[in-house]
Amino acid sequence: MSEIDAISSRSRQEIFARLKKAYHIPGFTPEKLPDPVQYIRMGDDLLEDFCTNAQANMFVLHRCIKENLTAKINAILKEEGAKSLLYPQGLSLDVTKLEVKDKLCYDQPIENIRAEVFDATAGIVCCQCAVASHGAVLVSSGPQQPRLLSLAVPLCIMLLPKERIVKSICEALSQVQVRPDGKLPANIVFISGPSRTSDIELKTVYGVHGPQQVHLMVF
Amino acid sequence: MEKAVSHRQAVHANLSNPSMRAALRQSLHLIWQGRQKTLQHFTAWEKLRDEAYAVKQYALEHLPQLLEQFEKQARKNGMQVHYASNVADACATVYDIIKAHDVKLVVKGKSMVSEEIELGAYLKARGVELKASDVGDLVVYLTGEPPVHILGPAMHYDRYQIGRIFAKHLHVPEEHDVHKLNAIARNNLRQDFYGLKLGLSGVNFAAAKEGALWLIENEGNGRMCTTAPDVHVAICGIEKLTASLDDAAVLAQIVGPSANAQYSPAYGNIITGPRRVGELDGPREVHVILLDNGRSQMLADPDFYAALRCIRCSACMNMCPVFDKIGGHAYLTTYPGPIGTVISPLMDNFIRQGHLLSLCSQCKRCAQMCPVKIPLPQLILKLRARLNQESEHPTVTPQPFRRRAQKIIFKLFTKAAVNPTLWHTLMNKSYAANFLLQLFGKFVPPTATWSRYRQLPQLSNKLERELTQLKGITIE
Repeated sequence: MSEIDAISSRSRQEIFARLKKAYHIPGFTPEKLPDPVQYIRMGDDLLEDFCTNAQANMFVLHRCIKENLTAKINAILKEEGAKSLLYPQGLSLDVTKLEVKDKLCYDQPIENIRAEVFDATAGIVCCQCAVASHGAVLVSSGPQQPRLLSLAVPLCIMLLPKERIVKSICEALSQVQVRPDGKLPANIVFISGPSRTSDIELKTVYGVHGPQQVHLMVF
Repeated sequence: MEKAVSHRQAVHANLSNPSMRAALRQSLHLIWQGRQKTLQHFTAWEKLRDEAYAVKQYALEHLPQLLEQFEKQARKNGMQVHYASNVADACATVYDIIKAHDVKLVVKGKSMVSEEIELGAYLKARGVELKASDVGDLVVYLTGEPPVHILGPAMHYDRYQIGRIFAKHLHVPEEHDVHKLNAIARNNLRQDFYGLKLGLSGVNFAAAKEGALWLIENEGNGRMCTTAPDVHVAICGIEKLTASLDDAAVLAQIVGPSANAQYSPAYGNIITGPRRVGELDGPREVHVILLDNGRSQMLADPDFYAALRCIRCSACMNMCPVFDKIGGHAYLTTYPGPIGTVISPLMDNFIRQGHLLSLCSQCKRCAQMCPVKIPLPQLILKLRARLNQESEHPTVTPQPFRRRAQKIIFKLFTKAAVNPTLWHTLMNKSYAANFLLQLFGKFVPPTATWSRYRQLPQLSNKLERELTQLKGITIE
């Protein structure tokens, strides 16, 4: 990789030399910018705002209590005819009670279970928090939350405790903690419903390379 | 001269392509309508624009510091950071990474910067295929065209045409239902993602404080390209830097509504590094290539500095009354529309790209739409003036006769316009020349070209009065 390093260090010198000549706007003084959420139309209730926006983003929303969660998930799995379910380690649900033919815990490196992950029909994802202003959820990667879990499966079931709903995108980002190794999670994703495209005649179609259906359990 | 001809040909070819015009118009109309609705989410859209402006302006003012900070933090996060001064450096860097991993297929998420450096052709010549994964991108990848629009690469095709393209290139039955077409694209790329070794992406925002990349998309192909393979290579223009993720969040909130009128895009994908110890998936290597390619020179130019604020949302071209008629291909550049008209001559050869500057009617709609307040119409005027000055140079003057004629005409006009007696006489007596204009105007330049699609005006004996009543004209 020495060739690439030579290109990089020469380029770096050239770029920084050119940047020395950069124009500066006279009198430009930066000020502390407020959270732009104040420019967004919102009501008084974060949960209501979140639910309205999440539904507009085409999440299939289920509001329930914790005790009913397993029953609700079973109903979804049955209705959608899910054959296999991929779930993360440390899931707070009793997996034995989930009614689906194949259950696979995502507890090995992807290299070992690539086919199983890419072929699974449903997956369960735990949200770190959610943004009321945009109806989006935030998912952070980690050993117990692999990145492909919220991406590879056509039917995605997301779990969101309602006290984790915050007002704005900036507030959600501030919830993402630096890990014990001093680093942020490798991947932090805001998800607003199913994957979609409108590349053909601007008609929206759901389910491209990510999930086609995203069920959001708010409890 | 050669470029001037092909430019005119490109414009005419696109203008006389009814299916392209119909498809483009339909899509852009839907975006216009959607935008009205989406903006209702905001109580103070203009204030959000002010913030977006401030975020970008701050980043440009502090670019060297932010680059250093980003480099340091991203390395700490485990990413490999490379600099590329120009197109050749960027392509060589990508190819070197590809060689080191012995890869023959690279799949990319939507990235205009990969178009800018013409990476596909570069890799193809070296036996590596660069496949597009965005649905629209896949269509133009199959037909071998550049994207027609920076967001909707295949906006010029309707579903019937796309059905035929898929049938021809992917050997599938011809479909024309959008869901079935989507399924074809999905299945085709699923195979590629399954065994992918190296994925490529662009970057929407690069946060210096956290050393993080922020990518916005809808299809999930961008997430696939940055998650499924062993190696992820991101190409990032140096102007994409922001001070922090909080600053990037401002831009992330304004880019969707400005782009395709979407309030909240499906994925905001923030990447801070490769797979960490104990994690089960994600790439093992993440490379970031910080590309200059003319950007630092633009930053040194007080006139065109502002164009670097661009976040590539496409609002300016969505609203442009020239773009919606001729489409992106007629610009013959990577970046079309008003922003392309400004940055292409600055990034590439100024004289060679000068032809673009005629593709603007100065209606100023783009300036009203731009979320980061780039004064595009003024920049285009300044560029026209600059082109005029620079083409004075004998070696670059493309049409010496025309330039001389232009100069003489403007000299005469100046003489008349500053001499009241002469001016009044000319105005009052010009109707006498009307019969000459009507008789020969259709055949003699410059009125011949002008009258090809328009009626020649009648010079009446009230010309002076008519002129004073025109909007925006004051005669002292």
